[in-house]
This record gives sequence, structure tokens and C-alpha cells, in this order.
Amino acid sequence: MKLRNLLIGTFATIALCVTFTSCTKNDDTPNDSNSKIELPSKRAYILYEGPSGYNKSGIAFYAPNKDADFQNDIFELQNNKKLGALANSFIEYKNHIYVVVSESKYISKLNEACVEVATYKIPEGEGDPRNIIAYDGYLYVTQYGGKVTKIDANTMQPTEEYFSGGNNLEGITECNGNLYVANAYKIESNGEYNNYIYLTEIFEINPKDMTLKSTLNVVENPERLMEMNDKVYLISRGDYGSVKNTLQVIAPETKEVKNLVEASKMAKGINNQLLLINSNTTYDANWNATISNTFFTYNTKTGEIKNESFLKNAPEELYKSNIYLLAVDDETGEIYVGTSDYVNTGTIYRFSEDGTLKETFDAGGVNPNNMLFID
Amino acid sequence: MNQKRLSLTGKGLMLFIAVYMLSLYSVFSQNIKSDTITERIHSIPNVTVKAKRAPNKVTSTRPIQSFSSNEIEVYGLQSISDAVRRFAGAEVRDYGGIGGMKTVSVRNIGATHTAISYDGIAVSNCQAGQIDIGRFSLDNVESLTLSIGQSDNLLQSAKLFASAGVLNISTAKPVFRKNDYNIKAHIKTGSFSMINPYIYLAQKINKKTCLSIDADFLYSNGDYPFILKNGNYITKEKRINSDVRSWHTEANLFHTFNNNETLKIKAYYYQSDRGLPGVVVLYNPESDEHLWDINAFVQSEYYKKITEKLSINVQGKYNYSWNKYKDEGVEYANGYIEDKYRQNEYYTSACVLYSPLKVFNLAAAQDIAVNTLHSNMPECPFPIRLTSLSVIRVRYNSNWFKAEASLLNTWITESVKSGERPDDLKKLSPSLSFNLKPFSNEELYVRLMYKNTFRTPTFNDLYYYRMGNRSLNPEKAQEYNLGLTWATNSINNFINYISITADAYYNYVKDKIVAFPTTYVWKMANFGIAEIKGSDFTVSTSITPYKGYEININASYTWQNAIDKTDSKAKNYKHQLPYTPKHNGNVSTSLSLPWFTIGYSVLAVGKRYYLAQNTPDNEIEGYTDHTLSVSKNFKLKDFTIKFKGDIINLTDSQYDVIKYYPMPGRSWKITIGINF
Repeated sequence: MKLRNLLIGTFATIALCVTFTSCTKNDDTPNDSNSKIELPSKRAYILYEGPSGYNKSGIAFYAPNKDADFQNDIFELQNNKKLGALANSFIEYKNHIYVVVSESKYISKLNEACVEVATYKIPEGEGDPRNIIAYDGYLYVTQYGGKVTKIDANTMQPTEEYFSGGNNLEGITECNGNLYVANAYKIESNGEYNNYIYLTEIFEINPKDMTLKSTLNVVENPERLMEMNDKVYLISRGDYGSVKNTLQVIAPETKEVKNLVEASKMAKGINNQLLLINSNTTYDANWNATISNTFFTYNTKTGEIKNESFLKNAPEELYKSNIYLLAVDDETGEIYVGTSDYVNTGTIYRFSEDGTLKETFDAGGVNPNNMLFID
Repeated sequence: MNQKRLSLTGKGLMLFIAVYMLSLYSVFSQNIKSDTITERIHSIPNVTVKAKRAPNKVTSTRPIQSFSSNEIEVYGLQSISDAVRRFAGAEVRDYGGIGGMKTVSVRNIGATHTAISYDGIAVSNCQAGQIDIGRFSLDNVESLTLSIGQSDNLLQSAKLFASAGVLNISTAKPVFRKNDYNIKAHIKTGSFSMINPYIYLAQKINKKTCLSIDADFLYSNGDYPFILKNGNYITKEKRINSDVRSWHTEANLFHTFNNNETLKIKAYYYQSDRGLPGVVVLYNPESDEHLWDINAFVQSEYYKKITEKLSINVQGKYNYSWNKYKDEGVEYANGYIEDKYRQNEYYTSACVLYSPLKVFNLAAAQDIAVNTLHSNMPECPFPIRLTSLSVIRVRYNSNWFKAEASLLNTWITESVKSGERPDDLKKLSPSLSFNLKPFSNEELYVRLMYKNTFRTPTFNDLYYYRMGNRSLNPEKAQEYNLGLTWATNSINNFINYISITADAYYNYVKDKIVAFPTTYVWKMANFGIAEIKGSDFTVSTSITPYKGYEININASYTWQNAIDKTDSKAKNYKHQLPYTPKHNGNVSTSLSLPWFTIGYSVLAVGKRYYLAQNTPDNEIEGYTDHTLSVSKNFKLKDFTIKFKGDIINLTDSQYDVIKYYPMPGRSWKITIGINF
């Protein structure tokens, strides 16, 4: 495909420029080489997936201090091309942003102005990339089909070591020097019957040689993993039936897995608080759905669950909407909640640290799933 | 009546002449309007009709449009979907290429509300609800008719009353002139390694019975190039995994007991094997999906005119359909997934038509259908659906006023092997229509129609793994139409006829069955509301500027405002529905010269939105699609040789009907055929 050449070409050209400029960078000045627009130093990016089946993923730019205009798709603005289909996750690491574009099957490396500097294309025949973390100079990307690829964050070249195991891998995190990877589900087909099976495994992997250290048993359909205060927090989606979305905590030393509470979204808050949302869908006799969201916190130091909402004056509709995003600005403690109806541009609700609604704005695209804050 | 359209030939022929030829008579003559009751020529011995017809029926109380085989031929229409998309108010969703799915929706009510009938008997698909019209070939099609609401035929099954619109595909019946046999054969070849041979044989067995058999095979590798725009980058790409192989054959037996009693039996077989190129995903060209289909049915139709006032029509059908979808990839534990579906239908219908007075007709039809589904999807409950449809229809038809009312009763009960079964469905759906002819010497009509209709939840809606919802209600639609039609024949020596129709309509669809998302889980729900306002205009004319020269023009234009009124708080509230242009239209023309015939048609579609929210980013540009066709028939002593060349998408316009399913650019096709 010609576009692949185009990607490589873009990479080669821009990588050269960056090689010359990146030496002068330090962590405090945003890395904005080749940006077409002036961006304030405090900035937020919203990653949105777009509706399924379209190349409608993108990155919206938002200036929390209101010192620049909102951009619906800064990726397209900076790179003159679209991000692709189903951008599932992004992270910031060493003045760069790494975006996992699942259906387009590549990882894009951007500078802090969202100018693409390199890409890693998942080889043909391998599964879609899903989630990513960075640790010790490397990126670790989970993939469907049971692979964790290790990529040099600087060169975007894969290493020889990789992890192979499990089925469709989802979340990944690092804790105390080990990787934790969710083995979420598998689909079996033998021609006569198809079976959708939710798995219950977390793989503990040594990032150095990518070997499996242990397998932990968790609630069905593990999905999101996050490290906080030397513990691993995990949300399993359950079986969409009797087994509910469940927050669990893994103690890496003892390998003990503890079920904490029903929850469907989590974000690292300030002061050791884990912000949680549980979305409960109830159906009437005609299967008309009603969503009810509860907002609460878990103190990762004391283990206390505080049922009081972390939002003070959230609009009524937020309690009934499909929540797609929960993010916290680690500098200000501000809370962002994003909603999606899978059809229209999502809505972002911005709250101050104490949960007071500050503003509501369009997410730039459909299905906003993640936010990054760059200072 | 312009009798030059009739000529006498042959002897003792049983002529089944298409509905549309009859429309000519009803346009130009009030003397034969009784023929429009059953839309059948009972038997006209010794008569062959060579009629030029006005394609859009002006005498009908509802909008009815059609293309004859001759028009399809001379206008250079490439497929059933290519013809249907030229009907005013019809939307064809085309996923591109020969193998890409093509469905038809009438005035934006939804493809599941459109019935497709093949030689008078409904084609069903209880699993998905919508029929892929891409699988029907044009090879032996005699006419295509799209009726909004329902057709004019009183003597038809109840099933064809039970939808918002009906597309009727009629195949040609054998006509024997000199010989007791007909042989037709042609071969088409064209771009993208397309090859499509066809053969037709008809044999007169005795005075009362004849048999026809035809078969066609189609292959194309489908690897057409397309231009992909990605931001500022424009690249040349090729569609991959787009190959198609299909094979269709059918046998028809026609038996005439006497002038008032006939029997038709059809056995049909179709199979296809095609790659599904899928949506164009940026940066990822992989495509591994494949689909196999088999459809076989046997159908029969018995007609008897018992007395001058009483006729009956009985139909029966057994239908088998099977499909297998396969996708490959490491995301499947065994490296692949196969979804298999098998459906059976047992169907019977009996209709009776009673005409106690010349101006008054009463018809009743009763259908019974049993549908089953087997699949290898998890938790498939192997549903069995029993449907009873009963309809009564009355028509008053005087010289200046026509009124029609029908009432359809639907009763559906379902049994399942596991889980709860859905509640039985009982529903009455009325329809009313009128027209008025204010001037006795002018073929000018004012028409008005109301129809209350619905579509039943499909097996997928009810039972699809995890998403299905067994509590779904039917999706309901109301159709209103107000129209003005006019036609005239032979204004002077040049103009053979003109017919003009103008209709304004309003449709309201509620309880739309949609996949409704909640956190992580999608469930089918009765959620959507759509309001559709529109107007359709059609013009057709035939001109003879000079002896031996003839120009035919057929044009239509549609304006449509179709908005989503589901949720007043949603960002797409009152936005135009996806893939609905405000404006679209087309012109098809043919010029017959003594030496050859040239056809030219152009289709123009305005800008649309491909997602529900009408933002500039979700807009797709409008397009035009031109087709040029040249044909020549050489009539030799015993046979005719036919040559035809088509250039499709003459201007090489790159457009998508469905976003990221690119349509082919300019392509060509050559047909060489022989008729004995």
C-alpha cells in the first residue's frame, strides 16, 4: 500500500529534523518541532475513537487555560492526514506521545504538538494493537492474538524479545519492574459452533526478556490495568450478565488478588484517591435500558471506599449517560468526564478538583476515550 | 388509442404480458381498464403486443415506476440496483463492486420495509430482513417495477401488501413465433476480468405447455483501482479480496389449461462465493472476510378465472437459503471464525377476486408462512416463526374516480428452543388511496394515498448473540402521498407520448429498531424516530423526429428532507439522516437510429452525510455517474445477433455510496449475443 511508503517517508523526513532538535529539549519545554500552530505550554489532548467502521479517530486539542482555540483534530492539522480507525489508547513518555491505532494497526509516535515523528506498523498477520505502556526506554504494546511487542521508544524498532501467550490481550501496566497484562477473552470456532469465552488471567511478565513469571486468576474479562502506590488496580468487565464489572487490586509481592467493588471506570486522582465510576444498566420488561452512574472514590492508602460522589454539581444527564472517559489532570487535580452515544461527537464535562462543574464542551469526535495533560 | 402499438401475429399464444405494458392501455384508453384489476392478460389469442409504454403509471392511486427490458437495454442500465437507483424516491445502498451488497429502501423508510417479489412471489429473509438485490441478474428480466405502498394488482398475495414499498422483478416468458423453441445466448466481458455467459432455452412441449431453462455464471476478480483521499494525501489504491463467482439457473414451466386457467412452476438455484473487501481502513490493507451463499426455491402459481366475476390465484413456495461467513485472523483462537446460517421457508397464499359490478372489486388474500433459522452462533434458539397475513381490499373504479381501501391483519407467533419466546404479534394495518380524473378528455389525475405499515423484528433483531432483544415491538411507519399525474399520447407526429408525475410525501417512522448502546453492551431496542418529507418528479417521453429515428427520455428528481427526531437532547436531533441527499435525480435517454442505438444516462446525487451528525467533517461530496451505451442488432434470416458496448462511469468519477466503500471508476463492458 502506497500509504505505508508515505508513512515511512514522513517518518524519515521528520525523524531527521527531530534528531537535530531533540538534543536541545528538556522536559519542561514542550517538544513542538514543526508545529503549524502556536500551542500554549499547558495543553490537553483528547483521543477519540470515532464510530466503528470509519477512519474517524483523531486527537482534539484543548487549552485548559483558555489561551488557544480548541482543535477538533490536531493530528490531521499537523500531519495533513488522518489518524486512522479506532485509536484505542495513548500515553506520554519522554516528551513524546504514543498512540495505538487498533484497526489501522500501527503505533504513532508524536511530539508534544502531535506532529508525527515515527511509526511502528504491526506486521501483516499479527493481531490489532490494543494498549501501551512505556517503561525504561521501551514501549510495551498488547495485541490481539496473544502478543506483547517490545519497541524501542526512541527508534520505534521492535526488539527481538516479545511475549507470546494468551488470546486477546487488553490492558497493560508496570509495577515494581514487572509487566501485568490482561488476557481478556477468546473466540473459538470449529466450523460447527462458535464460542465466546471470557478469560480470567493476568500475566506477570519480565520486561527484560519478556518471559512469563506468573499467571494470576482474576474476575472474568480483565480489561484495564493501572499502577498506583506499588499496587496494580484492575477492572474486569465481567460476563455482561451475572458477573459484574469489578475493581480488583493485585499485591505484586504476594500475588494476592482482592475484589474491591463494582466499578466500570477508574482514574488516578490526587492524594492517593482512585476515582471510580460504576455504570449500572437496568432494563425494564421490554428491555428498554436505563443507565445510572455512581461516582465514588477508593483511598489506595487506607483501603477505604467513600461512596460520596466526587462530583458536586454534575448535570443530571451525566448520571444517565454512557460514560466513555474519566481522566484527571495530575497537576491541577481537575476531573474530566467524557460521554458518548456512539453516534454524535462526545461531550466532555470539566470539574475542578473539588468536583464543581467548570464547563462542558464537545470532545472533537465520537467516542472520546482518553486524555493527556501536558504542562 | 394508438393502435399502431398493436400488431397481430402468431396463433394460440398464451401471453403473459407485463404489468407495465398494460399501463400503456390504461394511460391511453379507458376501455380496457378492467385489465388493471389483476394486471394480467388472461389470454389474448393471436395477439402480440409491441407497445411503447409510459414507464410511470399515471392512472394508479399510488406512485408506480418501472423499466422494461428494452429500456434497461437501451439506456445501458447495468444491473438491477443500477436500474432501481434511477427510480424517484428509491435509495440503493451499494457497498461497491459486483459482489458488494446492494439493498433498496423506499423513501427512506428503511430497506427492511421494502418487499422484493420475484415473478409475483415475495422473496424473504427473516434473518436479516433486507434482501441483497445484487444477486439477481438482469439477464432474463422483462421488467422492474417499484410501487410505493403496494402495487395495483388486486389478485396478489397478502405479503406484498405488508410493506412500505414493493420492488417486483419479472422475468420474460417465452414467446414462440416461427419455431417451437427459443434459444438465446450471450456473453458479457469487461473490466476487472469480468466474464458473464448466459444461456436461455425455451421449448414448446405442446399447445398448452412450455418449458424454459436459463443459466448464467459470473466471475470478476473485482480488483478495481480507486483513489483514496486521506487529508492532503491522494493515493491510488486497489480494492482487494473483492472477487466474486456466482452461478444462477432456473427452470420455468408454463401450462395453460384453457384461456382462463394457468399454472406456472419455477425452480431456482443460486450460489455465490465472494470476498468481502470490507471498509477501507487507512494504513491497513488486510482483508480476509469471505461469504458463501446458496439459495434454492421452488414456487408455483395457479390462476383460474372461475366466472367473469370471480378469479382465484394460489401460490406455494419452498425456499432454502444458506450462508457462511468466514473471517481469518489471530484474534480467533483457531485462526478463523465461521458463522453459518440456514433458513427454510414454507409459504402458501390464496387470493380471490370478486367483481360483482364493473366498477367495484373486492379481493381477499390469505398467506401462511413458516420460517426457521439454524445457526452456529452461541445461544441460537433455533426459532420457528408462523406468520398469518390476511388482507381484504376493495376498489371502486369509475371513469373519473378511483378509490381503494385495504386492511391487513398480521398474526405472528414464534417458538424457540431456549429462552423466552417473543409475544405473539397481532396487528391491523389499513391503507387508503384515491385518485380523481377531473377532465374526461384529459389523462390528468390527482392522487392521494395513506398507508399504515410496519416491519417485524428480524431473527437477528430478536436473537442475535448478546444483542438480540426478544421484547422488540415492530417498527412502524406511516406513509402519505399526494400527487398529480398527466399523460398524453401523440401530440403531433413527433411526440409519441409524454407522461409526468409529481408527488409530495410525508413519512413518519417510529419505534425504529436500532442497536442501542449502554455501557459496553449493545442491545437492540425500539428507539428511533424519523420524519421524512419529500417530493418526487418523473417525466418520460418518446419522440420520433424523423422516420426510423426515435428518442426516449426518462428523468426523475427527488427532493428529500429526512430527519432524525429520536432524542431532542441529542446532537443529531433534526439532522438529515445519513446517506440522504437533499437533491438527487437522473436522466436516461436513448436514441434509436436506423443503424444502431445509443443510450446515455446520468445520475446526479447531492452532498450527503455519512454519520448521523450533520457536521462538515461528516459530509460526503455529491457525484454524477454517466453511462454510455451503443447497441446494434443484426437481424438475419433465422436469428438475430446482438452487439453492445457500455462505458460505465464515463467521467471516471470517484465516489462512494457508502463511505469508505469506493465505487469503481470508469469501466467497460462488451456483450455479444444471439437469439434464435
